[in-house]
This record gives sequence, C-alpha cells and structure tokens, in this order.
Amino acid sequence: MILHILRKDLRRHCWEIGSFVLVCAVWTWQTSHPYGWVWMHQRQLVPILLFALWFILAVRAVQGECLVGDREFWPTRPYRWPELLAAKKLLLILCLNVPLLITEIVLLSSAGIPLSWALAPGLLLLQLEFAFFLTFPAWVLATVTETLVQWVLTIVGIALFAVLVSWLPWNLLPPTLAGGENVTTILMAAIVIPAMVFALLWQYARRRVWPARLVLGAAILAVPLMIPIASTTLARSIAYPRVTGEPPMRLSIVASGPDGTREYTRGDIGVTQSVITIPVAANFADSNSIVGLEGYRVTLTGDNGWRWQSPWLNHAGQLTSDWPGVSFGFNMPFELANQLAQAHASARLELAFGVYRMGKAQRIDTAAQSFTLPGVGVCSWPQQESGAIWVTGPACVAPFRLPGAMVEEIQSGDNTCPLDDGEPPLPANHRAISFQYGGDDLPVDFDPNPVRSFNLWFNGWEPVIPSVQNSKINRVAALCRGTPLILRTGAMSGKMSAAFNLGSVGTEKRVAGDPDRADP
Amino acid sequence: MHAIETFALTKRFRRVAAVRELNLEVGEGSVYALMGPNGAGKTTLIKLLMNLISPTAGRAMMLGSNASQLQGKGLETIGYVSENQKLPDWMTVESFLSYWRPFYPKWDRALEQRLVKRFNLPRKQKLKHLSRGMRMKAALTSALAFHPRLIVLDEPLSGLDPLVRDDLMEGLAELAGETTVLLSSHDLAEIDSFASHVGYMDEGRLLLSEPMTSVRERFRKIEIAGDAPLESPATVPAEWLQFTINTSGANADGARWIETGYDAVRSLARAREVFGAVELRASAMTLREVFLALARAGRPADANGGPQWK
Repeated sequence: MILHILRKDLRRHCWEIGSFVLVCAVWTWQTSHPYGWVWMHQRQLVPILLFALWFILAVRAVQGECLVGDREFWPTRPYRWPELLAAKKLLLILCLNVPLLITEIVLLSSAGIPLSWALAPGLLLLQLEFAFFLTFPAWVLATVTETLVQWVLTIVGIALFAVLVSWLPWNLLPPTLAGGENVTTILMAAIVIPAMVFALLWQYARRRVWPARLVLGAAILAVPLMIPIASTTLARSIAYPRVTGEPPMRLSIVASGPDGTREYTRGDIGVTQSVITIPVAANFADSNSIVGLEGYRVTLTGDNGWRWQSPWLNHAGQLTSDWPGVSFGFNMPFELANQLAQAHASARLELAFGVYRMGKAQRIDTAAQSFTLPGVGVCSWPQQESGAIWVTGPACVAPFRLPGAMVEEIQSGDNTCPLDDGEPPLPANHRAISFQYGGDDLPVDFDPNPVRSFNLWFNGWEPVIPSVQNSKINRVAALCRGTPLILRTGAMSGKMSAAFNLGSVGTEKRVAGDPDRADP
Repeated sequence: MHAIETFALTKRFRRVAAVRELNLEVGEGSVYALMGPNGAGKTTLIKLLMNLISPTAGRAMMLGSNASQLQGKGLETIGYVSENQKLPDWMTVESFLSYWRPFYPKWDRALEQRLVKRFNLPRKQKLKHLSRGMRMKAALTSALAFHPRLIVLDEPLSGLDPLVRDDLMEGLAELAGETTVLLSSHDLAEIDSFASHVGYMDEGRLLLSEPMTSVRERFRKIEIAGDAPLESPATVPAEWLQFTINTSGANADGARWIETGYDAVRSLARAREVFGAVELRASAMTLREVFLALARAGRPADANGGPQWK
C-alpha cells in the first residue's frame, strides 16, 4: 500500500518534482562552474528557487492528504496512517534527497575529490541533516495547515514572532559564551523536537488539529524563555565542566615591562570607563594540544580587601605551544582603574575553552599538479589565471567539512618560491604556521554544497625575515609548488573550564584610548 | 443488531449545539433517510459518525465499533459520499477508481464496470472537468464497488437534475438488501419510494425516527364536515398539526388538520370529543407532505425538548 500511495503521489506531483530536479541540475552546473554563469546577478536566484521548490513539494505532498478540515475525501477511506506516513516519507526522500544526493556526488566529483565509499557516511549524514532541518519542520507545519498559503502565512507569523523576540532588550542580560548558547540550543531542541514529533504523529493518528497546534504554539512560545538560560552559571558549568586534574596548559603573566617587570595596559574611554589588558603566556605540557579560547573572567584582588571581578567575556583565539601568547582585556569603571594602580592587585583568570588533540605531523610533497592532504582533502596548483581572481598558492577542497583543527607549517629552508628581485635566498630555521578550524557542532556542515574550499595561506615567517630591499617590510611566507608542507590535523576532545592564579598584575602602563586587544 | 447507534451524541461549536444528546438507531439492512431543514444538524451528525469531527459528548457506534476510532481497516466496509467533499480533482475517473481498488479487499470490478456503465462515466476525463452530478456518480461508484456493509450519503441528490437523481438512486438500489444505507436528503419525493426508515432532525434533535410504513400510517390529512357550523375549540390536541377551521362563509361547517397519530377509531372519537357529531375523512400523505407539515408546525420553543412526534 505504501508503494501504491507513493505511485499516486509521484503522478500527482510530477510537475513539482520535475521542476525541482531541473533546478537541482541548474544549481549543480552553476556551482561547479563558478565563472561560467553568464547572468551573474541571478546567481542567488537559483538556490532560493531550489529551496522554495523544496518546501513547495514537501508541503503539497503532505497536504495531498490534508490532515486539517472535515471535508476531506481520504479520511473516509481505509488508509492506515503508518502506511500513509511512510509513503510520504518515501516520496520526500525520493524526490528531495535523492536529487540532492546526486547533485552532491556530482559536485564532489567535479571539485576533484575522488569518489569512494569513504564519502558515503558524510553523504548520508548530509541527507539526514536536510531531512531533519528542512523537510521535517516543513512537514510538521504542513500537517497543521490546510493549504500552501496557510503554511506560508504560518511561516511569516513565526518569522514575525522571531523579529518581535529579537527586539526584546536582550542586551540587559549578561554576556553569553558559545558553550552556554549550545546548552540553550539543546534545551530549545528538547522542547521543539518532541512537540513536532507529537504534532506529526498525532495528526496522522487522530486528525484533531487543535491539540497539535496548541502543542506547537506552546513550544514556539517557550523558545525565547530558554535564551536567558545561556548566561546562567548552570549553563556555563554544563558547557564547560571544570578540568579534573591538571589543565592542558599553565598560564602566567608576561613580564613585558622594562627590566623584566610585569605590566598591564590601561586605556581610558572618556572619563567613565577604562580598558585593562593583561598579557598572558601559556606553557603546554603536551605540544599536541591546541586550546581554542571561548571566554574568560578576570578577578582582581588587592590590598585591604580590594576586589573586582569582570563579567564573563567572549574571546575567540587559540593557544598552542607554537603560539602561546594572548592578551585578556576587559572594561572597568574609571575610578576602579585608578584604585587598581594602587592596589598591588593579583589576577585570577577563569577560562572557558575547548581542547583539540592534534595528530602526528605529516610531511606533504606538493610537487605534483595536485596533491592530497590526508584526512582532509585535495589541493591543486592553478594552471592559469582562473577567472577574475588570481589565486596565490594551491586551491584546496575538502568533502563536507574541514577537520576540527588543522595546522599547516612550512620551513624557510625548504622554500621553493622564486626570489623577488634583489632578495637573497631565505635563511634556514624560520617557519610559517597557519591555523584553520572546521566546525564542531554538526557531523557535516549544513550546506547543500558538500565541497569546502580553502587555501593554504601564511601570515609571515617566525621569526620575521626583513626584506633586504626595504627594511620596513618583512618577507612574505608562501607555499610554492614543491615546498614541503607539514600538516597536523586534530579534533575537539572536549570543552572545559579552569581557573589560573596569575599572581601580581604588575604596574600600570597608560596608553591613549582603547588598547589593542589583539594577541601580542 | 444496529449498523449505527448513537448514545446522547452531542456536538457543540462554541455556544451553538449542532447535535444535542441524540440517540439514533439504524437497523442493519435498512435504508434510513435523515430529513430536516437546513441547519438541523444532519451533516454534523454524519461527520460525527464518519469520525470527521469529534463529539463534545456522547458516543456513536458504527458497525459495532466506536465511531471516534473509525479509520483504516474499519472503513473497508463503510462507504461515504457527501455533496461537499473535496475529491482528488486531478485524477481521471479511471485513475480515481483504480486508486481505491487495492484499499478494499472486496472491491468488485464487475460491479464497478456496471456502475460506470450505468452512470455513463467518462473514464478518461479528469474529475475537475466533470459536472457536479458526474462527480457525485464517480464518488458513489467508488463508495459502492466494494459492497459496503454500510453506506453513508450526505445530501447526495442535492442540486442534481432528475435524470441524474434517478441514475444515482438506481445505483443505490443495486445494493439494496445487502447494505445499510444512511441518507440525508432534502429530496423527499425520491426518498419516499426508497427509504425503509425515516428520521427527522431539527435544531440538533432527532424529533422522529421510525419505519416509513409507520409514518405513512400515522400521518393523515383529516377533513371533517359537520351538519351544523363548527365552533373553534378552545384547545387542539397535540397530535393535530396545521389545524384550520372555517367558522364563517360558505364552508363554515368544515375543519382540517394533519393527524400525527392516526388510528381510525381513536381519531374519530377524538374529533367527536372536540366537535361533536362529525364525519371524518382521512387521506394518506406523501413523505413530502408529512415533512412539510412537520417543518411548518414550527420548531419547539421549549429548549428542553419540544415536541417529539413519535
């Protein structure tokens, strides 16, 4: 019976299915030929059309056997609801996911990624993500609405509600860290997903729309109530549990002042606020760890019980054994900043961070026209100027997502780049390092295009190599064909928090305005 | 055994009670015609029976199963056709019928073909291109071809021309005897010859429910003629509807009414109690006349019940 209903729906929705497949094909061609699209201003139209058709097909297929109203023909016929549900699911997989799967395979292949069974889990996960994040919500709303217009109006209503919620004075809440927001997202999902599952099953089993609408409405209304939870201590402690045992690194304040003394920087913003910056260095016990910073809080204690604590602040950046320095800045009332200078204060830093465990370093030969980055993807050297943008170094592609963390390194002694006019060969024992991070929240990136493009670019040599021609500039670090590349990849092993007693903050160094908070 | 049974079935739409504590019994094998003016609650009752809406109170049984759980396999033996159903208009008659075939284990291809032929249905045409009458015929074919034990028809004849009505009634007659039919209709003339039982609903209440033969016997047009001019009685028995009396003019010796509980001896005795020595002439009524009389008799003013013409 499932196949019987499916065949009927395939006939019923042949135009929508045909249109979706056609737009998939156009989008595939467009994506695999980024410079071949003549009508540049219409590039964005195709993905919009693709997803519009996705929703139209999903909604119309479900509403073909409408679950709302008392004038429907089909409920008076001997349908078994689990069979109807299965037939609709099969239709949506067949008409939405299968064309998308083929599109993704073609895109991977045309990007130069060799097709193998190793890609199958990623492709499958991507289909599951699209089924879960797009089809499922569209399906649920289609079960509680009677027509496509009603469905669109419901979406508009939800969007207006979201806009209304965004206008609430959320800035009055304390700042939130990414991990706390993840906890909130999980809580929201824990409310919305069961509500959606209930509405879907209830509607198919009972066709009594008001309980389903009430449950969905209540779930949607409850979502904004979860937002304040992100900034609570509980959410933070769930997202970043305290390190048990030794943290992966030790932190200390950098002795950056004259004569090796400790010094913090103070800049004033007007006459009410000051910005304090404390330079910190990390010492790693394990050089195979990278710490991805997510947030911090500084507590200062001084003479005579003087104490001040900053709120939790966001901080994106990383600490590695190769890149151990970082500055922590925070705003402070002007008067308190004056007191800090006299208080002989000590700092305690609470840090929320993720730890990436890196694998072994691999030396990659880049002499071939294209070369593989094991566990990551494929890179190829440009044969000529491609389109309007001239690409420096190899263009690389990876399937689905980049590793959680990726560190690329080149050595000056091995560099094969042609010398600039008048410049001597690079001295040995300098190196250039680049970091790249993939996401950690979903198994594969939620993107219909499974090809992740990236480049192997480097900031500069460490230690710097000044130019002979112009002493004001440093020589550029670049990967050229034949330069050996040292690659390390790693994955997030967990998020955690730890507190570090940094000792005395040292003496004040006044700078004009807001001191640069960037890493030293 | 009753094919349909309801127990104090009630449906309210906010403050409006569309069906009020309705108790209905439709015997197996009967053809039950549910009559009543617009807004009487017939369609709501049928939707409750078909589990298209849920009751506010009470319950209904369809072929021994709770109507609130009627779905899936329970519908393999029940056919339903309504004038205001949303049919899958994009289907041709052929695809419409062939789609339903696998759903019914007892689908009878020969009966389907007979019905298609009788109704002169164009198999290749899409339902949306058919007239209303032809769409009803297609729906009825799909509801009859599986030899339903029970068929529920909500105003299937409304707005159709006499030729189409004849076709539909003949189609229904094809299954007479093996199928219980519950039919709501305004078409009193057609029902008259077709129904075995009849019910009358008004304001959500079932005011009458009995065999057709009983209705025909019970309802009579009465005319009396006296030797002397008649006097208007102070009260009229409750069984008399549309009572009129001529107390002046040339026909000042006559009165007429509709007797709702006719019995030759008792009706005469009652008339004589009211008017004295009179001659009573009783004539049979068509169903149309009966229900027009009931409808014109007015709706009960008493919200707790009103007249029950049983």
